[in-house]
Amino acid sequence: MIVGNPITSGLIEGRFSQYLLPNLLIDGQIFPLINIILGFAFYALAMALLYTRFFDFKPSFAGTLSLCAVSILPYIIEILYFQFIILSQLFWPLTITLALLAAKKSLTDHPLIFIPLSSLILFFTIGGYPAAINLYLTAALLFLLQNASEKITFKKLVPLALPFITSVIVSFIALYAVHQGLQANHKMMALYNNQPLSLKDLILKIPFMYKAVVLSLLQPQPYLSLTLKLIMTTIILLCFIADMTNRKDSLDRLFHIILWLILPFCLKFSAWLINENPDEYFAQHDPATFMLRADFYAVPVFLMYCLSALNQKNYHLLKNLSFILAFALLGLNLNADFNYSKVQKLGFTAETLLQQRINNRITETAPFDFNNNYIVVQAGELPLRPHYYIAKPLENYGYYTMQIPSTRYWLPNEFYAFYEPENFVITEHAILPENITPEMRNFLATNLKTWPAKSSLYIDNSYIILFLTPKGRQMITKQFKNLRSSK
Amino acid sequence: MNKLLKKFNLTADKTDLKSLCISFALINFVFLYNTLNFLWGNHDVKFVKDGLELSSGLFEGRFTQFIPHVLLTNGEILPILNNFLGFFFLTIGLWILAKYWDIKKTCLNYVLFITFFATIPYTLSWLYFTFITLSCLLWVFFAILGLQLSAYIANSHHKTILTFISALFFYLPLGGYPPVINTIAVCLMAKICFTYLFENKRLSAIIKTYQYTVYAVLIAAFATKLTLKIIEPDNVYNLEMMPFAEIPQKLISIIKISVIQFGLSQPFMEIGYKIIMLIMVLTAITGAILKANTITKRLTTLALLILTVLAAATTTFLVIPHTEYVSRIDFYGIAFVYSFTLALLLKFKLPLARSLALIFMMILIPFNLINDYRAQKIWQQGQTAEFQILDNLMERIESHPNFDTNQKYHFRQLGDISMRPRYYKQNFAYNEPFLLALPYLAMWQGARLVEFFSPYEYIDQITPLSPSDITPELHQFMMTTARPWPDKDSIYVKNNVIIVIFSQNELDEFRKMIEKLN
Repeated sequence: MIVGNPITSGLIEGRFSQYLLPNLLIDGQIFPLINIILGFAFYALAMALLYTRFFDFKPSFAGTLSLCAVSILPYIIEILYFQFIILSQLFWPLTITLALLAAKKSLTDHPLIFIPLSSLILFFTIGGYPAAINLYLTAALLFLLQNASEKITFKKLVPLALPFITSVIVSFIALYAVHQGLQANHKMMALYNNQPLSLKDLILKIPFMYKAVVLSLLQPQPYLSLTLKLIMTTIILLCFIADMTNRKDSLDRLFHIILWLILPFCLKFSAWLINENPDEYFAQHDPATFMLRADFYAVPVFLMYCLSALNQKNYHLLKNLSFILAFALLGLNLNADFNYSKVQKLGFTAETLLQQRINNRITETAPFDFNNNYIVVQAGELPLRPHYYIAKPLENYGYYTMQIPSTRYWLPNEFYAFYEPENFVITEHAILPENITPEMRNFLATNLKTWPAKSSLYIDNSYIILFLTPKGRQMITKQFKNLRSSK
Repeated sequence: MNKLLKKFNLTADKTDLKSLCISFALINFVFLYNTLNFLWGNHDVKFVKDGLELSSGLFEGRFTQFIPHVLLTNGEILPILNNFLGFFFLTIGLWILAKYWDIKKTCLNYVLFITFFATIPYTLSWLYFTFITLSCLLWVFFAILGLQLSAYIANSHHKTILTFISALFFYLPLGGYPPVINTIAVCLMAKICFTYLFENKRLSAIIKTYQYTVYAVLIAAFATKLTLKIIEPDNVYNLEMMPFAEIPQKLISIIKISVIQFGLSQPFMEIGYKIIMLIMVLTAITGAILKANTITKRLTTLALLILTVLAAATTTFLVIPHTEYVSRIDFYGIAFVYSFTLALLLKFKLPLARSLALIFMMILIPFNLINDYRAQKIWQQGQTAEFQILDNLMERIESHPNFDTNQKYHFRQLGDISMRPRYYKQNFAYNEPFLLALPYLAMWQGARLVEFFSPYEYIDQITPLSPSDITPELHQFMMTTARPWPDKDSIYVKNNVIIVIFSQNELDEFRKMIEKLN
């Protein structure tokens, strides 16, 4: 927010292209309005191109309604949570669409030009956010499903699928090579989101993936109510049934069933590949199969396909039903998205005000001095967004969309001095054993009070320690006791 | 469906759609600052956080008030969408009114007519409380839709069904906010005026046509009254009714109010603005009288015009006390009178009348825009100032040595601090609560407000401060030490009691009260 995103910021997690576009367009800065408007412009263009150019659906009022409804599915809210990646995250659907269009073009024209082009664009995209591959794979599979409407043989299928498969393989090999290079040069850290599973584990994970896909279509999450999920599931089921009833013979039907069975892996491809064991700080604690950011790339386009496919059928009942479902989806999505905006704004305000009160207390407490540099240790976090959200029955997960605060305990240097005249916080946020004074020892060992009690705050010449929550206090006290017993 | 809409003149052609889109965009632009800043008033605290239920309005007899919210936004008060939906229905309602009054269909006429009404600062009064913005703007749509449908009953084969359908459209708004009766009365009287003046029909024939509207309104009013009997609401101020015996005595007041309301300056509607509006009203009325070509017709027109004006001021005031010059009631009354006079000017065939309408709109719509934006700025400044006080208060309570987050406190706030008037320096003859006077930090909402942005829930929302909480120590503090905000002794935190003192008057009242208890 203060210094912008240098072009190399993403290297640490292997995302070498993540900040290319923000640097190219807005000098790597995070701007109000512009970030989001640009992002939405790219995303809207991507959805429109997918609808009209890639799937060749006929433009109509019902089609536009479906397109609007799926484009604002609440999966997008997790993209909006992190300001620093909004622009690039909303840009990837466009690059994926271009890669898909290039692969499609190679079926009729210059495959030697368009397949490498598709691979290159895809490589550039997954180099910025690997989970964007879900969109490519889902759209490609839906393309096969759409074009396999006539009786199709394996011989016909291979040339149709080849450009897409080639692009994916080539781009992944290239990405692997880049990651190896970055790791060899110590530019990239092994984090939860860049540690793929072994082949054996991937095979073992197959039953889990089916279960996860079914669950993720039914499990209510914050802002994704059971009603919304049931509507989405109904749309998918209707499309499946319509597709099956359109099949002329059993071989044809079997072939389509196989494609539908592969679909869950395309939708959740990134979750399938990923190691679920989270690291301490950066990991998102929801299971990867429930990660809204990853679903954002695949689910909307899948639903767009289903609604549009139903709308293009000759049955009036299906057309009307798809129209009603799209309309209901639009209404529910609008409500969910605006509710997110409200909860986000109120929660953020409350957390900012809390931070101001903490800062006021710190600056008024002796021996605080603005000329000193402090290690700030905040024990615990107080996420306040849930105070403004009316949770629906059975809801689960929502790590970024609900559970965590805007100010993380492991980044005190970024927000404790954000609105202060001087920066008094240094990057470290841990207590070093050699720095423990008798007063600090006394505070850590005996103080039981947490914020807002006066004694929840300890300040000396180099440390500011705040017991914000009982849970945080217990963790710090436990660490301190462990340290003492190890001595 | 299309056939049905056509039957009731509710289909929209290109001109209609164009004027609807332009008007909707203009209205939203005029109130954009409020929409984007999500300002909410002192009744909204609980509802913004916990949402609305269908039954939320029952205690004050407003049994349909939250149906729109529950159906459209799942009972949530949502930023942006709340205003958008409200303005959407208001725009459609006013478009139907343009058709009901048979204003000549041109894009300019419709845009001027819709935008002018919707941007008169009376609309602001519905933006102060976000929990009723949507429903109270929607009621205009229902009331006018009811009028439009009932206008076709006389020529219909399904008189009974249509009468009951129209009654339903009147019943819904009446059950949500009864003063909407003013809109029905003004718009109906205006329609009779227009028909008499421009269609050269006899008054008896007109009454024959519109008698069904009256029946529908009476059915709706009866059903509303019956529903109120069944649900047995609490004894609240807005259900207070005038005894019938007192109504004749009130007639003098009614005439007085009907005249005064045109010249009475209020916040964001200063005297100059009101005078221009009055000139427009007088011009249109003069035009109407001149258009009538015989003495009898002139006298009848004059009587109808007077009744239309009286309908705005009287319909609610006649039965409910203390409702004069209340901006949100005037939104349903006098604002429609202004629109009626604009419609009159737009309906005259004389080019001069149309030119006058354009001139008035060129003056009044920008005036509305300035007044509305001034109000939005002041509201925002007022809210920021009051919420800063709230934040300081929260800080003082949380850092108080006796404060314990695990305790549940009985809370009492003595007095309000209203900051909006601090930022408004224009003169006005009559202050208005919703437009300016009301505080955000209302005394009776203090218990909810004080922990709104706090991480902790430490106020006992069920049990307020009671005489048993007044210990000798608290008594001593209140009688001798306590001082109003921002004094350090403006807060008392001990045992299970938190008291915040915002005003000396309320402190004095409280002192008298505890003295009496002793």
